[in-house]
Amino acid sequence: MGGVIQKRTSEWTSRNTRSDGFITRDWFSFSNAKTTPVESNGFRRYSLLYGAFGSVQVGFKEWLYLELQGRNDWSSILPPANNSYFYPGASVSWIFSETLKMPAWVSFGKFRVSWADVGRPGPEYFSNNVYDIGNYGGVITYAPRGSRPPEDLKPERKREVELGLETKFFNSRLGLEVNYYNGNTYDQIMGLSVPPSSGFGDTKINAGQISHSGIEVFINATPLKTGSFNWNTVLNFHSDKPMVKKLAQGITTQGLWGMSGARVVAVEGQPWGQVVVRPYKVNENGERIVEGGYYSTDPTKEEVIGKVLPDIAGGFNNTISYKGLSLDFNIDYQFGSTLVSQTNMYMVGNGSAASTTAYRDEAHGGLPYYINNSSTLVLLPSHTSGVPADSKYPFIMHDGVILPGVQPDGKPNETIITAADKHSYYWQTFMDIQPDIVYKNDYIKLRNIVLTYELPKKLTNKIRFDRLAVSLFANNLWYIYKTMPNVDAEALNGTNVFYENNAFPTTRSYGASIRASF
Amino acid sequence: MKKKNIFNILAGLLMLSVVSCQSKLEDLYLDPDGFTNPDIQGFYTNTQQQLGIFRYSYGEMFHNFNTLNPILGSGGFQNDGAPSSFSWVHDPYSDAYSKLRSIAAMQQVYNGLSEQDKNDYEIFMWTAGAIKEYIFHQLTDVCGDVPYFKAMQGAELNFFPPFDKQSEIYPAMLANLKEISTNLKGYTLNGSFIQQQFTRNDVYFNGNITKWRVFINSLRMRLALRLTNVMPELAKSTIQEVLADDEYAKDRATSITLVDRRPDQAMELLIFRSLSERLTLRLFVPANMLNLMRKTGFADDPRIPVIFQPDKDGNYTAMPTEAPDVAAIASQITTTNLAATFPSFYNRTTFERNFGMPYQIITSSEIHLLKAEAKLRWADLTITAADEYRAAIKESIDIYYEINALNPDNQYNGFIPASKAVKPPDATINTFLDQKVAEFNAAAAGEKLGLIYDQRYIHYNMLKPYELWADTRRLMKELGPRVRKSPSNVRMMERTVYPTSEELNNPVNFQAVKASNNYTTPVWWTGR
Repeated sequence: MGGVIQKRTSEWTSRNTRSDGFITRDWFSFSNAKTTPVESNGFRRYSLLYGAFGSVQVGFKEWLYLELQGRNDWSSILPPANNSYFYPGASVSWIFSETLKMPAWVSFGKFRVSWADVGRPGPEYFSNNVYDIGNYGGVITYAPRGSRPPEDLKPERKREVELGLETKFFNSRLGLEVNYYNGNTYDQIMGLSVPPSSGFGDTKINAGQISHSGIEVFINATPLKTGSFNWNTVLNFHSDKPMVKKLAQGITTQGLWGMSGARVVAVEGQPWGQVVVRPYKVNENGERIVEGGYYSTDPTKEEVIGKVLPDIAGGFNNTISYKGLSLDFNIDYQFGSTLVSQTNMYMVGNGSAASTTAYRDEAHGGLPYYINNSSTLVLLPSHTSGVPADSKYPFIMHDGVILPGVQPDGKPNETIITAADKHSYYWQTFMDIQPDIVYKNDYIKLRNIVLTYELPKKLTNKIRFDRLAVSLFANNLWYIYKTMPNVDAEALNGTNVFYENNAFPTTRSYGASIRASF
Repeated sequence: MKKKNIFNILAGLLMLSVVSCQSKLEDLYLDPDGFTNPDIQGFYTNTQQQLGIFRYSYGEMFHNFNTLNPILGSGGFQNDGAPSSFSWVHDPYSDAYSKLRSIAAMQQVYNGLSEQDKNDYEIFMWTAGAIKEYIFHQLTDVCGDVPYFKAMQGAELNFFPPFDKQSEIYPAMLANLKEISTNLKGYTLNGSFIQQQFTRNDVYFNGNITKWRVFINSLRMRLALRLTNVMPELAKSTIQEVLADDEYAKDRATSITLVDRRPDQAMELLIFRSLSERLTLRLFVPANMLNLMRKTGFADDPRIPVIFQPDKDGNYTAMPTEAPDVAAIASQITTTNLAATFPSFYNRTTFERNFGMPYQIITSSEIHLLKAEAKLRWADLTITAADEYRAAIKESIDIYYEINALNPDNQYNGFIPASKAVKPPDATINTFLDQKVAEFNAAAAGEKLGLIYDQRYIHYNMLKPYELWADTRRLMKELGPRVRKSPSNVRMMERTVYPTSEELNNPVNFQAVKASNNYTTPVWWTGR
């Protein structure tokens, strides 16, 4: 049995004057400010939560355990009529290696199942329908806030079932752990962004449902153990699939992030975090349409071309040791995510990407053409053609491109453009994200290596150390496999931002360390 | 018996503590800085006082000077000749809808009132309706098609308004303004508590119904003139209706201007700070404007010393328009000492730290020029174009001298004495006006329109970019390069883009405007 009283207080006050400085130097007082008035600003946030909980544990013959929990909370964040809520939980674990007859190579086996329901009141003042007050020249003003409050706030609930299997084999040389979970958050308390033309920036809901189901697998093993030689390895992977089951208030799509031409969305009934872009214009035969020599995106269509979260991710961690020498190396991987890369867009646009050497001259596939007196580009039959009479310049060019595709009327595209124009098209004022700068972001990465030498006891005892180890390490060493060109697969622009634009790559570091204990 | 007493006492204490816990929770439920019981009056005043409706705001003008001065030729800058690219940090779209929020809140409260209270509050609702149209005309002029009919309905869970065509928004705005104007004709405030508060809460016009009618009718004329290329009949009939009604901005007394009531905050919140910060980047005297004001064979425009201030040598010199001409004087350009620059700046006494200046919402000069143009288009209107043209220039001269003289700041070291202009005698002004009128009368019909545009260019200058931008885009169809005052390397920005939040959160409706989500597609009323 227990109880909780949780009181949260945040108060912030600032006082400032404008930057005209002091009347007398170096005296830090508001009364010494050149400019009056002194402006004051601030906010206050308070919340209070009472909780009472109890739990019971029962064990049977040291192989079956049952635990039951219950908790009731009272929160000031919820409207007085709804501010009390109860949530229970239960779990059973069964060490089956103790009860079932197992082959000798099974060292340990445990199965557990748990179920829990958790309640949460959301952020402070979430459902307050309040206004800002002010005055203009002595007349009172009321200003509505940009957020639409929910009508009748109830606590958010999360219900989760988890099944787990923990086993050890061959005298614990091999271990396998598998967890499966299925959680459902309902009556979710969150803000949904709405278009500014609705009159609000966001509407606060208390009805969303997002489910998470996933599986986690850990395999740990000691494949080699021969006297002074040891190899320990851990392989893990997890796969988490968040699904948007329900939004609210007639909203079925929620933009998580966006810029012109690309969005990351949460759509009712679909996996969370899908990447949506406008496809290139194509005709009914699926052929790319070229207008004025260029492709363009279709303003009337959108298509889902991936999702920001990976299908699977995990790691492969190893320690190999021989006498005092040990080598650690860790490999991470992820597969199945998609990323918008503006760095690649700008690199192509400004000609710094290696791919922009294409078509720059005859050797790189450029076509021969000349520019006539009316500044039109005209294709020539050969790179050795003479300079035609109506040429504006006394030479011909070799960097022409005719993009594969058809004109809007169905005839093959014949418009020649320069290689520079083809590439710099990616860097124009207010251009939409193009589908071809959205990449699959799969990778396998050697994250770090550590080589350690632990000096023999005999030696350390002599110099009165208990232990002395010397290590060499290197981090962020090598992408063994990577699908994103030119940029670091992990270089996102911050958390909850689903694109990449000149973000700093993870830094590679090398070093040495000495660890000693006395 | 004793046991029972102890039990009762314990039960009583428990009850008390439960009750006190519950009341503590209830006490903390509401945001201590939030107000729970607002009224229509407070929303109404909040609507009016929002920055950027009548009062030119710091943030908005800071970005407007940067983007619009080069495009309109209304501010001199060191043009490097590079082809212009488009960008405008100001987001008029989100800004407009957030300004409309208080009006939507008024409507919500209004819907729940008794019939009697509704009657008393209708004056608040009608005049707020006029402000709504004022906000929408500014929005659609720069964004084209926008949600109008079903916008601002988030409170009723209608979060995804469709984009309405500008061709439908304009007639609807004009119809609504006409209805409000008709409702207000002959209207007097009654003695009810609510209506008596209108005079206090109406911080624009202090409850003066006639002033409201002047504002609304003048706005109708402004909106009507936008339609010369696309709905000339509606343009003409609207102007005829307002002329017949005879209440619109005709002179200084009826010009719609506003004096801010918060001079203590004006430096930070209003145009003044943006002027200080953009002075050396975008606010040199533009050569095209100065050339118009100092034509060979004409007296100097009397507005030169109030709109501009002299350079280090006491001359009014302009920043050249084209890059090679700027390069040619590069070694002479100096702004190290802001009191002794070359070339000249806009007049800092007129425009900077002039906290009591009247904001020009719809001036008589605008309406005079509008009437002169209307006469050129529709000869049957009872207007004398040359008289309107003359009055427009005269009243523009008057208001800029008035504003310059209002600046109370004698301490600020940024002002040079010569920026305190002395108004020339009437005779000098009349000589100038006579010359301008003679030039106007002698001009061919198309050039008359051009001369009217030139006067708008001078009168609006950098202070009223939206009006100048709209007239430029509208007249480009008929007058082409005649109305382009920008350097040749600066392309016309025809509109601005929608904020990404609208594309992200209203994607289905957004498809309708996606193809015009750029800076180069002219809006509908340009006729281009």
